Amino acid sequence: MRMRRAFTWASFCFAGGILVAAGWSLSGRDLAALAPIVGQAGTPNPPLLRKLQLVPTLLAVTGVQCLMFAAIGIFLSRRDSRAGPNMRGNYPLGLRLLVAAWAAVAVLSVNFGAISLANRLKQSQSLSAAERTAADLGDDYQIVRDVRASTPETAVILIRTGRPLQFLLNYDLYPRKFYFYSDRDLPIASIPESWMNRRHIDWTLEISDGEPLQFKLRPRKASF
Amino acid sequence: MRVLLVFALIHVVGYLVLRILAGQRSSLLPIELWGMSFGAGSGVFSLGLFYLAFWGLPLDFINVCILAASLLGGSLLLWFVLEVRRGAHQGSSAVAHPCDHGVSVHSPMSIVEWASVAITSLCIVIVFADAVSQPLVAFDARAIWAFKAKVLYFEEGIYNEAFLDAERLHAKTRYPQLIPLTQALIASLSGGFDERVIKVMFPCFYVSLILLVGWESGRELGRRYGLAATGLFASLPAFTIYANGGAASGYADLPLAFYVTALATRLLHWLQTGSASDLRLVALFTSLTLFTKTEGLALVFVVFFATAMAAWLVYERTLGRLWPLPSTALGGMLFLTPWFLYQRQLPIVDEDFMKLLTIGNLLTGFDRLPYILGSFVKEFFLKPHLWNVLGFSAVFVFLRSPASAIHSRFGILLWSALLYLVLLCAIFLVIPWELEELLPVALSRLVMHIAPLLFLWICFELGNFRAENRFHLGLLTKRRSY
Repeated sequence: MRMRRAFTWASFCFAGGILVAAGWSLSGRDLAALAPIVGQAGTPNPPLLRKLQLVPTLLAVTGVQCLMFAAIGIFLSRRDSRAGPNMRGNYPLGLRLLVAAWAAVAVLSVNFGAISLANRLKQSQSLSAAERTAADLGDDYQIVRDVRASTPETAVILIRTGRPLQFLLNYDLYPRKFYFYSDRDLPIASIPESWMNRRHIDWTLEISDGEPLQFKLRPRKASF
Repeated sequence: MRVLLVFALIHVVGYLVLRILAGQRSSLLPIELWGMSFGAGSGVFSLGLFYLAFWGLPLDFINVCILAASLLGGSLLLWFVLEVRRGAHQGSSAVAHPCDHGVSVHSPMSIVEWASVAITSLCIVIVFADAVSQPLVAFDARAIWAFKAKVLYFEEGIYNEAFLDAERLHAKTRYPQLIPLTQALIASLSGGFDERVIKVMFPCFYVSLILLVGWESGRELGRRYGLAATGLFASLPAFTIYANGGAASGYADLPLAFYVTALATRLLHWLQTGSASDLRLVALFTSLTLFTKTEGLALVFVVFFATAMAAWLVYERTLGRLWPLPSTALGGMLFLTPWFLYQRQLPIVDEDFMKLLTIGNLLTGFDRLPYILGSFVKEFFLKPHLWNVLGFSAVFVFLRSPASAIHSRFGILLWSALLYLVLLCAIFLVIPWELEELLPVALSRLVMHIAPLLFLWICFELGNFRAENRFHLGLLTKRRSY
């Protein structure tokens, strides 16, 4: 029993040491190579890269926790021989390994949540809600600013783009009304005037489908 | 203060409605009902608001207050009447209150239990802090749900061109409105449309889901292992740190996961006890699952189908004794009649999956199958940063004894999850989108709907295994003593 406990605490010490060393050696390095593994779309994007920068801190913090856990475990084992991991039983090794793996990932995940939150709070402490949204959306937010500055809240805007960004504009710029023409490939100049008049369109917004992001916001001479 | 009152109101109404529906003979503890009350309250309020809007009444502050007061007053009155009746019949009716949950609250907690409670609490704190510390930033949260909520809140109704005009820009026009209506309710009663305030509802759903999974696993595993399971479930990264679908993101997938878990667990209890009180709750959660997201329809179908199959094949009920299932499903759908009528007026801008699901389309899309299956394998086994080792655990438990897993009395949880994956697979075969673009961003959120069911199935099977283990150990000890 003592041997088993000693082995457990030694494992925690060993894992803790490795994690701290890994965190130390990775700090300051470019971790973009991890993006295809952990990212949704498989390509690096600014929010993902910001999160990846936290990986060394995560490893170091988890390593320190392992070392502390081992120290507390050793201390308690000496004080009370009944203390220690008490979920053992006649369970197969596979099950015990699974639970251990689950617990390890859980600790990493909770640590990452806490570190990421603390980091974000630190960075965005003095920002307003709009500035935080702008920071998160990056360059795309420029278009929100420009349309907001140029058009009144009552504006009725014809939008032509295939970018999902259009739906964010729709939300951010509400109560401005956005319309699209059913044939989305048709250039704005070819859209029938009668349709535009029926919809009371007074602005047109064209956003490039490809990179780089370009847009043209134009007032329309209404004839309704 | 006002915000807290709004959330308390949703909780209280949810609790009273659950209490009324559960009835006197329910095996659910009041604390279990409290756990589910936020989800139930949000659902009941959103249905109420939708009825008002459907009948053309504006969703202004006065009407929302009247609805809130009448829901609170009505449910309090009903609860009071039921309590008085219960008091009168207490001598004759033996209420089967659950003392045999294996969750003894009197014995002191072990280190593992304290650690589990600490991890669960930490996860909850992280998710709440994450939600309130920033506005809505995730795409669907803004573009779909909060946009609808803004329209409902500022235009005070559903008969406006934002919903009804096919050429007005509106993402997912036909999506059900439980989430935006709850957001509009919170905005209306709290005094304004503040993204950080309306976002708090999602962590509340997260807590409800944790409590639901915790109580259900505690029921089968006992307090110690139940708490450990709760800690492990609460820390699933998909809920805690996932930016596009997690509990703080403002997506509807977590609320949907809560409703479908509540639905499936109530049906499981109905299978085990045959209690009518479970069926009343099933009807409620059927409505709310359908009213949360389009995927709710598929989930309701697979959960009821799996339950019917289990009742027939595992619980050996005759087909004649299965009639409560379709009637409950129908009852749940009846609540949503106004929604279905209204939905017929909404323009079809996006693809209609029901029409796409034809044999011809399925055969045409068959060459996509390897990619889809590969994506499923990747999702379950190669994304520990989202699902921990959920996939490995499910495979481990299944392979331990495939025959007993198939015929398990908890099988509806596994079969619901598997059937849902099959249905998703079929939809991906016919969907007119590039799968390479769609699957990486959509699959994790779709798996979120069934992850709690899969987790509970693993817990229940392990509980079974533990009981068998104890039984064998007991036999061994007896033999030795002879």
